[in-house]
Amino acid sequence: MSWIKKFAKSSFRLYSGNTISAFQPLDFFHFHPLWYDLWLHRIVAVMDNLMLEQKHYREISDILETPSSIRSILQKLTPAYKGSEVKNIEDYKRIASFFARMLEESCPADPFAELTNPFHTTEEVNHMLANLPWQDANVSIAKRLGQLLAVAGSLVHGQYNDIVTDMGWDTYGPYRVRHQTQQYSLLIRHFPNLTPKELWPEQFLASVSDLKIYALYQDIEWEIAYVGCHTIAKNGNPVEGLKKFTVISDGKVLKEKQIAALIEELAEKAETIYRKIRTMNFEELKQMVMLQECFQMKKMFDAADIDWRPTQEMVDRVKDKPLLTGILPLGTLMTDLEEYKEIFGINLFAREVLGDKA
Amino acid sequence: MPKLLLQGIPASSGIAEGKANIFFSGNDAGTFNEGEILITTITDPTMVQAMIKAAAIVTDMGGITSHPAILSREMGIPCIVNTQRGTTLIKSGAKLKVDGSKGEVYVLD
Repeated sequence: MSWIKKFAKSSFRLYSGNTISAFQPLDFFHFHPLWYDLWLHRIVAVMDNLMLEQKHYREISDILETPSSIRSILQKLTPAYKGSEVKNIEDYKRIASFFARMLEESCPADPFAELTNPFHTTEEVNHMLANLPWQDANVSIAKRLGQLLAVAGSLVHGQYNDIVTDMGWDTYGPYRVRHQTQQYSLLIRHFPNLTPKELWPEQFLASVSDLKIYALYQDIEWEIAYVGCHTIAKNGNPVEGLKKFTVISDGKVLKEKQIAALIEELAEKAETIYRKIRTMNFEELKQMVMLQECFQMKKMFDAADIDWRPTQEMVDRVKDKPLLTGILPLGTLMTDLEEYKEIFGINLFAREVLGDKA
Repeated sequence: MPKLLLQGIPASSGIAEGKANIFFSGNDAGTFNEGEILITTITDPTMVQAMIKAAAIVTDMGGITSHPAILSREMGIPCIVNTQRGTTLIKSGAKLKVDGSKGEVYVLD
């Protein structure tokens, strides 16, 4: 069975109960089809250069981003194909099939995160439980950690934009674990790069680059809906349910005072960067969004010794061009899977690109 | 007696009470006090310093996977999105009760 059915069911959770007009700071879905064919053709060149289609995820994990980032890349292919005038079917097919396989190999238990994002093996999880310096939580620190997640999430929202956020924020788990005679749900929130210096000047970068928040909860049922930043507590409250935690930034365990200082810093940076984005004109926004989109593949392009940044042809393609119109309904609240598959071009993609039915 | 003022999509569960503060993108976070209810069209990162002080968040737009919904769930505070008329119906300073599980906003005074 093709992966597209599972993909459709899971990715629907990304948009269910949401409207496309809520995405910021640009209407991506009417922008990407203007230039995506050129970018995809370059990705295929990199895949050929590195012979990626012959390699297992384990061999190339160091040049790929987080699983949620890969899911986000997949998610954008179908509306781009639907809206693009240039339908380079073979490029779409090879890229989609490659990234779908990477997810099947990296998260075999739930590749498209219908309910979970199980990126770690049991051995890796047990190693974390045994070796991390767990601290007891209380309501006060649980609120602090919620604030830390909110400010770090807001910073990457600006640094990477609304639909590249997943490159800067993933959540792994929930893993049902036993630790010191108690049962818990383990969630690992990961901000892998808070300092994307290729995208922003120094004043918009955090003082720390890698941030991991490990949390053990009780009496909460967690779900992850397609991408890590869409982590949902199905019942219970994360503030009351947090029992143990540890926060590690750039390899160092943070104490409560350091966490408070980091919240203050990241909140200010998140606000500053988005105020800057709000001052950008339409042409600047288009260039920024294109650069952020291409940045997702930087490691792969670097490995192939090919410049990851947009080519002049890509830049020229969008210069002084308005956004496309009518590809997706901006204000419609998505509530039905079948409607979603039509609107986002998944049925079309399955039929024309994969030779399948969604 | 609480009076039901408007409804929206429940995006983060829990109940909170506090004063409404109509707060928009780019506003000064210094004008937002700890424990107030943040009422806006849709949040963005320019509002994060106010969001982390909020007791609850109510937005006119968005869905359960939009920016305010995601961050409210992480902070464990109630959030209601897509009320459509929150910023026009609610007055700054009004005492509100927000039920994030039912998606209902009540006026308390």
